[in-house]
Amino acid sequence: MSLHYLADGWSASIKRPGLAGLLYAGNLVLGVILAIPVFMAFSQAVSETGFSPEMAEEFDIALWADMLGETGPVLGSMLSQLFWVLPVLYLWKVGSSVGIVYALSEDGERSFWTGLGQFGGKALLLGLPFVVLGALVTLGVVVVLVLLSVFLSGEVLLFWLRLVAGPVVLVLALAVIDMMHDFARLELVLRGRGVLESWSSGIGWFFRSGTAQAIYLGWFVIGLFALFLPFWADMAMGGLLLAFLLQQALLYVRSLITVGWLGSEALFFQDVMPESEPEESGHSAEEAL
Amino acid sequence: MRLPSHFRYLATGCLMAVLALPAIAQSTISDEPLSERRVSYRMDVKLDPDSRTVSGTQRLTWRNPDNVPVDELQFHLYLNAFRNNESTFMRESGGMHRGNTASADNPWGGIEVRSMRIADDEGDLQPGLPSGPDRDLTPRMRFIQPDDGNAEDRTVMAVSLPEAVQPGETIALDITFESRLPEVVARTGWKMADTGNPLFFVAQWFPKIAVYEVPGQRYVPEDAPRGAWNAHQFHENSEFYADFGTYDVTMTVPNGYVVGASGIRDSIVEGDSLTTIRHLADDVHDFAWTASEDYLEFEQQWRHVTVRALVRPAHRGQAQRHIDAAIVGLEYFDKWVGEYPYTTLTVVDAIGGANGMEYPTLITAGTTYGLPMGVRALELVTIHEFGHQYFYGLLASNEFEEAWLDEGMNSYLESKIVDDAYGSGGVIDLGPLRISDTDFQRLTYVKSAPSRGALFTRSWEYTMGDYGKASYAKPATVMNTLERYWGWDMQQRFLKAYYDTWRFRHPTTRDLQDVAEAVSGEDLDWFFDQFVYGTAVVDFEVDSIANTRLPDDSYRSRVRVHRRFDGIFPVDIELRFANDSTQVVTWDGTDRWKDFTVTSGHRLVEAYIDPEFKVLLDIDRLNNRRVTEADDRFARRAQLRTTSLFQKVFIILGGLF
Repeated sequence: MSLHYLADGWSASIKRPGLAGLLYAGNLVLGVILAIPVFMAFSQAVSETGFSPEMAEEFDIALWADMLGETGPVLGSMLSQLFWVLPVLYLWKVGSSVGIVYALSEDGERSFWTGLGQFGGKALLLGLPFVVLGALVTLGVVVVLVLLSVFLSGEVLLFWLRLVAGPVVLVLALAVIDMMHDFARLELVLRGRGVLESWSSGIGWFFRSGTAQAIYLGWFVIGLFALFLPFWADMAMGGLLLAFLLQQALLYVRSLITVGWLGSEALFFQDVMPESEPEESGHSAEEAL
Repeated sequence: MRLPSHFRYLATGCLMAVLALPAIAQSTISDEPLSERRVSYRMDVKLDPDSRTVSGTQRLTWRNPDNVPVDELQFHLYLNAFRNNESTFMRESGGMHRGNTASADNPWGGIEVRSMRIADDEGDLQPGLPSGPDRDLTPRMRFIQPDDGNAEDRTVMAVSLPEAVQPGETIALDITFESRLPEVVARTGWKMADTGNPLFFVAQWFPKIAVYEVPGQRYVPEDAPRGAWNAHQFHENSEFYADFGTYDVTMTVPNGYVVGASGIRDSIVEGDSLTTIRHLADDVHDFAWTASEDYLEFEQQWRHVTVRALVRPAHRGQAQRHIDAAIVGLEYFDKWVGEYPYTTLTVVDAIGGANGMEYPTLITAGTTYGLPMGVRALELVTIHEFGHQYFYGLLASNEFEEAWLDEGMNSYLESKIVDDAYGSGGVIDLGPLRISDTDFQRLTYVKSAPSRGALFTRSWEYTMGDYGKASYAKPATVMNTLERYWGWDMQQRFLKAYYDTWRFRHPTTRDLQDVAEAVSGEDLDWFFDQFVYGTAVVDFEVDSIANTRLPDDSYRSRVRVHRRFDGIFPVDIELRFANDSTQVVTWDGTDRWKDFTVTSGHRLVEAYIDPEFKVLLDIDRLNNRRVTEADDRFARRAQLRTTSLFQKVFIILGGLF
């Protein structure tokens, strides 16, 4: 059953390629802005040295070390840009997600911008507890790993615990939280619930629907593979323009997957959600859906 | 007819003795002594795992090499460095060595010489016999501190003799001692493995007589009236120094322990609860051993050498890597330096601070479970520690005073071997990330306060953490530069001449330079004074290029080069013109600023100092080259890659929001 939701979500995504385009464009703009200092610093350090062609073709650690010695402060300042990038990223992720969910709901022809405008503010509030929960879970996993490392012994055991089991558990835990967030968002947008109600309902979805889990897991695996491909292209082809263009194509496909992912969950949610609230509570039937 | 019982026991004993005798085996490839053999050690010791002690007896003989009588002996008692917090080693290190600290409640060790007497004869050990005052040396033992006067340091002991040892004569001593092994912090001691079994690495563990240097030897003047003992205290940054001799060591351990030791195994006898193993090692200047119930044994033959690996269970899958790396070392050193004269080599996978160390015919490596093949930390350390069989083992320089002669020369050979055997990704070979050992050594030097730390410095006199860089990475880079300066053929001749001249002896920096000059016919003071005895820093820079068009449409081009620091080195400068023709000029590097002017039909578009990168000592390669037309290819590609990297990271981060 979950397979048809995956297929339907994908269909909904490619029917509205502009949604993926918006996601892709947002990421691209942010990436370009952050990469500008890299160009400036490397150009200043290398362009008049004559080493530019060699460094473009292959990695020379001696030259890189010399270059980083000169450009270090500039590159270091890039880290400080995270202070504004992360909040902007959060705003964009949250806003675009509600816009996409709204756009793909009902007949799949609704306006992204209407959804963003109508639910964006509440979605920002809804997302914050999940961010905090994610941070707490990450900290918890790290603490547990540290404690286990103290009380357990055995080089082989600790290797598998620290480098395999620990990271896998962390990724799965964060995936669960992300799934809860997705369904909390659906409660907010498709059932018109308040922030707190949506939050608590979203938490519950992980425990009450195997199909919801299957849909999420299916797209998780697909998304993981789709994200691996541009990494592979970069490692295999380096900094060639062709490699960059190939990665852009793959990243657009990855954006289509994100849209399909949200679309599948929306379609499933619409099929299984309870009837809307009575009119005297202030919620219209349309809004509930 | 049934034999009487005593005959049966005698027959059984004879049979066991015969079975215990090995086939005729030698610890070296020569029937004749290869070294002066000034000392001999015959020891019979027992390991007590519960008390973590090694105790027993030692028959030590020492021959006076001087032309005058010697009335005092000096000994190293290295284990006393771990006796308490007041030793010179502990004061200097703060209890930490190479990142290792002790964690046990009682991590301390030490060595106690219980008795020392002049032996009656050269026969069996007779340590328990009472001695008259003329033979009992025990009351004459006293601790000395020749380096820093720290009265709490007991790592050097002097013993005055009632009667001097005459020139050329040999004195034999019977010594009883107990060594308390510390928890391993620096090289020696015990450590609990994660199997719950203790691992013992027994190094620098017995009373070791110091080196008596005669007039004309090392830095003792030729015309000095007498020689002198060279016995330094054990410092945080120092290693060791001793004379060549023979070792005959019998070790008793509990049954079930696997033992590795210097030299060849002469016999192994297993009793009801204890096993006694005898090892012989000739023409070496130290003896170390290890014992653990956990060791897995692997063996492979390479020509005349039996290569044995003792590997802990968690690293079983890397046993062959240990052996393969050791054989790489054997092959390359044999080809490039000289023949390995011993018949055994044991590679030990020890624990913590006991790893990464060298002893005659026994080395410790060190690895970690799951180490990828493309990360050659294991190969690097094995080849490095094997190389010490030459630089330190055969070319037995004084590690206290001239650490670079073993660590630095060995790091140089290690970098060459690793890069030749494993390619440009000798150290790291993971996809596009390839780092060579030569690059690694060079960067460790040039990016780490290159103006500090001369190679020729006594090890304990390095301050500000420069010992590692100045003893390993910098000399490796110095030697790599020397090789590129005069070519590999000359370097080979130099290395082989050094080995042939000084093996089984104690060379100095001056001796190494003398060999280099004799082989090349060149005065190398300019090189050694700057980069071995001094701290000169090399950094050449192309400051500017200017082109002036002449009335006949030709160009007068000027290249201005700059020597930014005090290091002087002759270099080539390649000039490239607009028609892609090139011209090479030579700069001796003496002037701080130098203009080179050329006239050509084409504009000069590029100047490149040291295009073949011969001068690895140059701390900044990026400024060696300049072009007249900026090229942003690299910056553009970096920008594109960074953009797509951020895009991917944002997708991942989006999963967290």
